[in-house]
Amino acid sequence: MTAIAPEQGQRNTLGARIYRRLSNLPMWVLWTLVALWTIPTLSLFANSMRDRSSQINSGFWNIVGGDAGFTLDNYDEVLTTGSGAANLFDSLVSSFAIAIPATIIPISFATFAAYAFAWIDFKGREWLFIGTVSLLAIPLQVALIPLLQTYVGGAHLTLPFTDKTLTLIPDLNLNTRGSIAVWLTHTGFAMPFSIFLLHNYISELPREIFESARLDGAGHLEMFRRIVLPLSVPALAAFAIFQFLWTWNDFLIAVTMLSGGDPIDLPTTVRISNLAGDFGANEHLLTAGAFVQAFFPLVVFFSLQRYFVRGLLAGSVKG
Amino acid sequence: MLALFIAANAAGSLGRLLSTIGTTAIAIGIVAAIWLAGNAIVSQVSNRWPLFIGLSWGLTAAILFAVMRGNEVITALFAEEDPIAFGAGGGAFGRLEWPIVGAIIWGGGAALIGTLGNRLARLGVGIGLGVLTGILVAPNLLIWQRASIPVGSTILWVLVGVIVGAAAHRAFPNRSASDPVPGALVGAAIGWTIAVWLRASFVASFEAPYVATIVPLALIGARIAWKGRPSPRQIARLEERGRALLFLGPALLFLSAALIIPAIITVRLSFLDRDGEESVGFDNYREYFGRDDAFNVSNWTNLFGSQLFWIAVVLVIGGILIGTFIGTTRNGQLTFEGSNGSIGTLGIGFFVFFTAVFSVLRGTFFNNLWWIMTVTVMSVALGLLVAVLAERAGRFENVAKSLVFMPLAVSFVGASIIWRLQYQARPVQKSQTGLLNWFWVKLGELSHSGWPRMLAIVVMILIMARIGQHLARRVQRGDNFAGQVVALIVMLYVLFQLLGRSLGGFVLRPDGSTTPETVLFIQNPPFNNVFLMIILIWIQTGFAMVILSAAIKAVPSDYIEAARVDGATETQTFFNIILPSILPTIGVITTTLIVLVTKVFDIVKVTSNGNFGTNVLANDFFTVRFSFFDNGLGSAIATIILLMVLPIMILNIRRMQVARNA
Repeated sequence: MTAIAPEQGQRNTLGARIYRRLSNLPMWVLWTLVALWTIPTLSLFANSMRDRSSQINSGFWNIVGGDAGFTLDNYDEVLTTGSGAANLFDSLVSSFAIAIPATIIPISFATFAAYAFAWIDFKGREWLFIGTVSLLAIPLQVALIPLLQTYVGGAHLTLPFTDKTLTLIPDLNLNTRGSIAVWLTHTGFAMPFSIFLLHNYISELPREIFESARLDGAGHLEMFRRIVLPLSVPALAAFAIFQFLWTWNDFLIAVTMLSGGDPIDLPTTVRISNLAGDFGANEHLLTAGAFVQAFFPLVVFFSLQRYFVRGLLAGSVKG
Repeated sequence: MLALFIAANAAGSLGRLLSTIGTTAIAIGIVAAIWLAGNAIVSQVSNRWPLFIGLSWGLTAAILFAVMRGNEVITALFAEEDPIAFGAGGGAFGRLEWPIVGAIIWGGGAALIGTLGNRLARLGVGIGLGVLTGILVAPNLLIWQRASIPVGSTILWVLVGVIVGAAAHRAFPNRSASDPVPGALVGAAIGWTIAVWLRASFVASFEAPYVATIVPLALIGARIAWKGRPSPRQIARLEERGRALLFLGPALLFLSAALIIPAIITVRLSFLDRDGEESVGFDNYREYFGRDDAFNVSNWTNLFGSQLFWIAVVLVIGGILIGTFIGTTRNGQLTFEGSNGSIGTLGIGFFVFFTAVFSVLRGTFFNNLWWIMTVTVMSVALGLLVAVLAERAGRFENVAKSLVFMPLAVSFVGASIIWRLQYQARPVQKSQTGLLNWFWVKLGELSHSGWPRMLAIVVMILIMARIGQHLARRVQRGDNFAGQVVALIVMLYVLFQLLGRSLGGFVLRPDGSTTPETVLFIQNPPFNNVFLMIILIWIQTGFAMVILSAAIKAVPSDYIEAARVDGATETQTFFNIILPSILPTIGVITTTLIVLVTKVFDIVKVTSNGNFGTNVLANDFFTVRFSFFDNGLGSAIATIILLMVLPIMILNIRRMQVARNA
């Protein structure tokens, strides 16, 4: 506003207005940044609709005029015929098969826990809560090797002072059984953040509601069902969006936990990175594939942006 | 064609999706049923005490017997086979008999105990339970589980158990601290079990298994029987605690099974060899830091040859001079005053300095530090810039913010592919397909062209003159002029390059002609690292922007009004009112970003796979563990990543303690 303030007595003609707009340095900076942030995605979208030789021989800006090579065959090809046994359509199904359970399961467990931390009195609550949330910072690489070993070979506890081993979890070979190992891992890793986010919200619900419910003889289960669940829908929605985006876009957990399984179970991220790995051969499919991969998160993002932003804020500002 | 395919494929794939949804639904149903059943049990505490302790002890017994049966300690109850046969009497029911029988006996017994008022009667029932179960269990023990009873060590272990159990009971002041008997009983049972089952040598004899089994079970039975129906206050506390356990149970189970225990195991594995068998002490760490591609400081003297280093020196000295100049003119004596100009210049100076340092110190470890610094600082700075500028964009504010925010929804893998497209470099004879190299080559052509170059020079000079005019006016008004100065410096640099015909990508041939030259963004060390970092900055700026924007809007408008009334300019208001009040938010974003950047993996994996000197710890971890199958070294790298975020973790804990006490 002040950067280039309109001078007093300046004529308010169209020319003057345009000049003022153009000489507004901050706005130049802003829209340059916005353009820099948008063009890469647009270029991917443009190139995904051009045939192989056009993509290889000229830049994406040729989609308007020049060497356009407009075609939708890339989408066709990447969805129907893929490298290996499966195509991207199968991967989309696998991604859903991972993202849906990996969103529903942690959200329910975290809501229970957030309620307990907020409204049930028990010894050591503070410390348990701080301990739980401090696990936010644990990098998942630290847990990956033992987790994978557990999924493959079960959990065996060697009892202290003895030479005996007790099997707590038998060998299940979970890494070859669909996406179960991926959900379980996502559920575990989602816990600290989801509990933190939902606790922030649930603990702020007005105390009076709970007190009057208690006077009416309601137990924790009823209060949870009748008060907390209906009132925390916005927070639950916010976290659901987060978790969906995170599980849909995850690469590391999927690529490690599905290492021994059927390629049909690989989610889109892994499939796309495999496409990117075979240099050149499928370069033209990569753009379409990446766009298909990003399509669902973008739809979720643009339609539910309000909740998403709310979740982000609840998750960070109050820290 | 596409629609046809999808329709055809849908049948098969849809089946897969439906079966997944079915499995999910069943899993969720089972978990929900268990959870609701648990809640139902807890609900019995206040009204039906016998039912409650019957159900809870029945459940405990079922779990214990399931573990014993699963570990082949006992054979199936109704098996015809010889107990020597390993796993005799398998099948689903063979595995379920023991839990069912255990649940019936102990559930029924505990319920009976719950109805009895007389302690002696209760004890009779409890010990009877133990004896009955012992008589059932002992003959079904697998033959090599039939213990002898080493008298001396048994007495010793039972004594230890009694003392520890009684003391542990006292350690919880909330419980019936005055009565150490229940703790002692449990302790004795555990001590006995350790001595007889876990430490003993096994000798097949007839009576010993009976004695060995009956005693601990009877002790547990006595423990159940010792205390009568609790007082209403105790019952209320019990219900609260039971409820807390049920609500927290699933979350804590997953936290410990997926995070805490694996993390501890990883730290332990990092001290073992590649197969996790022999202890090797700190060898994995020593090996890692000894590797040239992980930790290489041999070229540190190159620092003084780097342009960036000298720019940083100039900036730092400039910042100090500006601060001293302002301080001295304001206070009349030689002091340093932190103002926007001095602190800003110093900050940029230090940023450039560390960039120079990290471009000289090579290796995975330093790459990670470089990533942490650059991505965090740039994301926060650009996010703040966009947040502040978007405020002034009027009705386009939300459009601008949405577009900058959008990359956050794109996966790291997708973002890497998007940017690979921008970084594309083709042989110079062909036209460039990557936007950046196209631009770079065009700039080179421009600086060797005729009138386009002249036109560009004239336009630039005109724009610079205009900016200079604004600059002069702002200096007069005493307003902040940093933006204009930065814009002028950048444009001046470009102008000089253009004047000297040295702008853009080209090679000058000996015969005076030029050929275009491209930048190999991903292959040219060490600054290829920066180009990879840009991908993450592109993603995370939106995150910082959204949170900072909300924080700026949350600054009380009274403060801003008051400042305006006092005649503060927009920039003064920003630096003196808004910036201080959003500092805590910047802190939170910074820590969040540091944690995120420390484990960056996907971007490096997809773009360069760690080649060309761009490796980071998380990618190295993946390669070492999943390509070379070295568990020891892999765990050591994971532990190093953990150690890097540990300070942040401690900081977060302290911040939360402060927030909770406030």
